[in-house]
Order: sequence, then structure tokens, then C-alpha cells
Amino acid sequence: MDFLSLPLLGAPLDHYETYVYYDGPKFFSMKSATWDIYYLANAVDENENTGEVSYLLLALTSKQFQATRSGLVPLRDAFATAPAGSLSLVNWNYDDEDRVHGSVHTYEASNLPDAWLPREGVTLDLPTPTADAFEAAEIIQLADAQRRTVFAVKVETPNALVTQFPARNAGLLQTAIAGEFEALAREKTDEKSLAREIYPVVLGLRAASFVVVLGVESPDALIEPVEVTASVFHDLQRLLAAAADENPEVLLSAMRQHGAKVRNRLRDILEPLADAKSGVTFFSSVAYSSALSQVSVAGDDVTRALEAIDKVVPDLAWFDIGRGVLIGKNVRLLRFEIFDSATARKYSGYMTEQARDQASDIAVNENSLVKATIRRETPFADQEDSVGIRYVLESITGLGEQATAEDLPPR
Amino acid sequence: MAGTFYRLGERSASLQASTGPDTWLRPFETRGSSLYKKPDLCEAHGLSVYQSWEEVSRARDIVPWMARKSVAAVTVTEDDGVMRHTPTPEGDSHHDWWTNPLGLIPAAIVVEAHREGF
Repeated sequence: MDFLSLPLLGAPLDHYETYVYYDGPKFFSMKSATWDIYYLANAVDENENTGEVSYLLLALTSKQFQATRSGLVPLRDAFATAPAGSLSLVNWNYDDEDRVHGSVHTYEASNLPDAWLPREGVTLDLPTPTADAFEAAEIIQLADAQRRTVFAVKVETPNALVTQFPARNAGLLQTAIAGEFEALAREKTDEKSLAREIYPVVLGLRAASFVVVLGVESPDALIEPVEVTASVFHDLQRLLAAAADENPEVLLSAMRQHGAKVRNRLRDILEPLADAKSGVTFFSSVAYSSALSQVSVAGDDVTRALEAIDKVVPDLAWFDIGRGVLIGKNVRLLRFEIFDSATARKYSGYMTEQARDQASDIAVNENSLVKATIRRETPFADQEDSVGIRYVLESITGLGEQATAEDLPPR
Repeated sequence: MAGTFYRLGERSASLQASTGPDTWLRPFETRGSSLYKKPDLCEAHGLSVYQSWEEVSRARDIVPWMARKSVAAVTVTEDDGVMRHTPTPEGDSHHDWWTNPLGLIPAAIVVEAHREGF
């Protein structure tokens, strides 16, 4: 019973996998050595008198094979809806000298007896990469060839049998990575425009489970400013390594060495990963380095890191605005915006319910002179930058006075 | 390894019947096997058995040729030979059993007849 030498399209064939074995392979696959053709072979019948067994052979493209192997297409459907010409019946017969001969006949799926089909709804459910396999060495090769920094983000999709990752999470993750890249670059250079002019671009998708390959684009620079990108990736990997540490304080300490934008974007990276129950492995090769760096954060570590960030108790401080203008409010969403006439600063944020009740009677216009008490929440209190600080309006009272030009924000 | 294993029985065997000798033909003796007439191969003497009932049922869901056979349960002791774990993607509990003595025909009882329609 030499299946591999049967006169089939794409022959000669190689044995690919055996799925069901019983005194020999009974349901297995073969792959053409030259063409993009796979065959699924299934034992379907037996002559009780002679012991001769018949097999159905289903020809599939690699895409169809992957879909069937991963369980997206039930086995019965794969055979029962086979296009004309893709289904064959192989009878193995024995001659008078007990030598076996295989005869192949094309078979119409519409003529298949029910008894030759797998049971309804049965699927193979085998993890099946549906993109080219990722190899870390490719990152160095790409970086060397394209003379730019190349990096890859590998995530996992539990229970996914093909190469996939929820689109929403993938989008959020890539946006967060781009944001983190910019935030770190801004910390590395005084040239703010430079930080905007170098940014990550997607180069490709690999398996498994899901790997996005990205490069650094710097269209306005003759050569990539590697002093910036090397430093950016060094810090990003240090932050991710800290996220993998079982002591949350290691992560928080690493985050305190950066501004709020970097901290917030790091949180934005972790959130879609935690939502997808995925860990992450980050590979990078800085331009002209021919070296590969790698850091991994397991799924449980991602969740723990996110919880640690969210548990950071903000430093609280209260201050009063003695004379200001209520320039915006949304009672339903509990949002406010106040201009402090004394310091000429605007404050915006959320209102407490008490403040909402008080503000509901105050009109939003140039005449709404108010005094107010605002709570300032600073998540990482040892940072001096103002980004990431949250303002909460705790109370507000109308002054009953007409605002003068000096009270109002400059036009 | 000892315990209860499942092997396909004759198509005509009815429930609770004892299996016949055809059930215990080795692969090198079985025309439907790719190992037929290859007695020099070690695997041609190993009998396929499943330890898991769920898995033998699932294999029959997939392979119509298996659905048209009965299923027999056989109790194997340590003295009955060598059992090697030979899992496949759809049969983690699949074992090859080299019996002791080599041509042993064990006592086994059919626990499920061939499936209707197959």
C-alpha cells in the first residue's frame, strides 16, 4: 500500500502526518514534494471477503489544509463539499500472488455514501500556524539588510488554533508601542521634532502564535539616529524586564525613572495583553549592531504588573481657587473645566457628585465667577512633570459677581 | 502497563460476544494494513489498542472504516507482554501491544457493535 507513489496530481508525495493509527495509518496526510497540494487520506470501507480496504483521498491547497487541520472546517464538510476533481477513491486490491495494487478513481462528492463520511461536526483541532514561522535571526538579517532598527512583538492567543490575535487588542498594542516609542524618544532628545520624525512601521506578520515584525522609519534623516533608537529600545526592554519581575516594586521603581507619558504608554501596552491573556516577547536589533536583544513577560506577569500599576496610591493634595471662571461642565459625565483667574491656569477633570450638584445651578459663561476646591492626584508622586496628574473638583460656589476682563482666559 | 484496553473487533460480532481470531491478526497478517507481509518489521507485530474509550470513539467518528467495526474490551496484565505508548494527534492513549506469547489470542468481550449505517 504505497500511497506516496500513486499517480496523483503533485506526485511524488511525502508522508506529512498520521492522525489516526490502527495497525497502520488509517487517517493521515501527504504533501506534494513540488506543488502546493496536500492530501487527506481516510480509510472508509473494507471488503469483508478479501480484507481489501478503500481510502478516500481529498486534495487540498495549503490554505484549505490549514483550515481543515486547525478545525475551522469540519472533516465531514471537507469531504462532502470537495470540489470536482479533488476527491479520489483508492482501492487496494491483491492479485493471485498476494501482491497489492492500488487503483485511483476520481469521485464526485455528491455521490459519497453517508457511511464514508466522518461524523457530523467532528474537527481535527490541531494548532496550525497560518503564517510563515518566526525566527529571531530574521530580525538581525532585516536590520542589517534594511539598515534600520527592526523589532518584533510576539504575543500568544490561548485556544487559537490558527495564527490570529484579536484585532482590537492588536490595534491597541501597536498604538501603545508607537506611543511608547515616541514618549521614550522625547526623553532622549532635546529635538522634539526628531522624536516625531522617527516612528515604528509594520513590516510583516509571522507565526506562531502571532508575531508582528516592525521597523523604525526615519524618512527625514539620512541615517537612522541610532543614539536615540538604541537608547529607546534599551529603556523599553528594561521596563518590560521589570514588568516580568515578581517584585512589583522593581517595575514601579523603573517606571519612576520616566515621565508620565512613558509610564502611561507602558500601561497601554500591558492592558491589551492582559485582556487577551497573553504574555509578550520583545525582540530587537538596533541598526548597524548585528545583535539581537530579547525580553519576555509571561501572561501572569503581565496581569500582575498591570495590577501593580493600578494599585499605586496617588499622592493627594488640595488647593483652592479663590476667583475663577467655570468655562465648561458636563453634569452627566461629571466633567469640569475651570480657569483660575489668579494664576491664569486652566484645570479640567472629574467632579464629585457633591460638586456636580453645586455646579448644576451655575451657568457656564463669562459671568460665572466661582470659588472652588480641587483635589490633585499624582500617581507617581516623586515625579515633577505635570502629565498624568488628575484633578477632581470637590466643591464649587458661585461668587455672584460679574467677571472683569482680567478674570477671563486670554482670547 | 496493565488495565483495560480497547481493540476493534469483527464487524459481525454482537454485543457481549467474545472476539474471534480475526480481531487478533497482527498487522503483518492483515491485508488492510500498510504493514501486511512485512514480518521483519517490529511494528508489524504490535497490536493497536486504545486505553481511552473516548478516544476510540472519537477515532471511529473520524474514520468510517473504524466505525464499521465492533469494539472489544480486553484486560491486560503485566505478564501479557510489552505495551508501548504510541500516541497520535487524535489518539493520545494509543498503544502498541507486543503480546506474550507472541501469537497470544486474548479473551475479549465486544462492548459496542458496529455503528448503524456503516
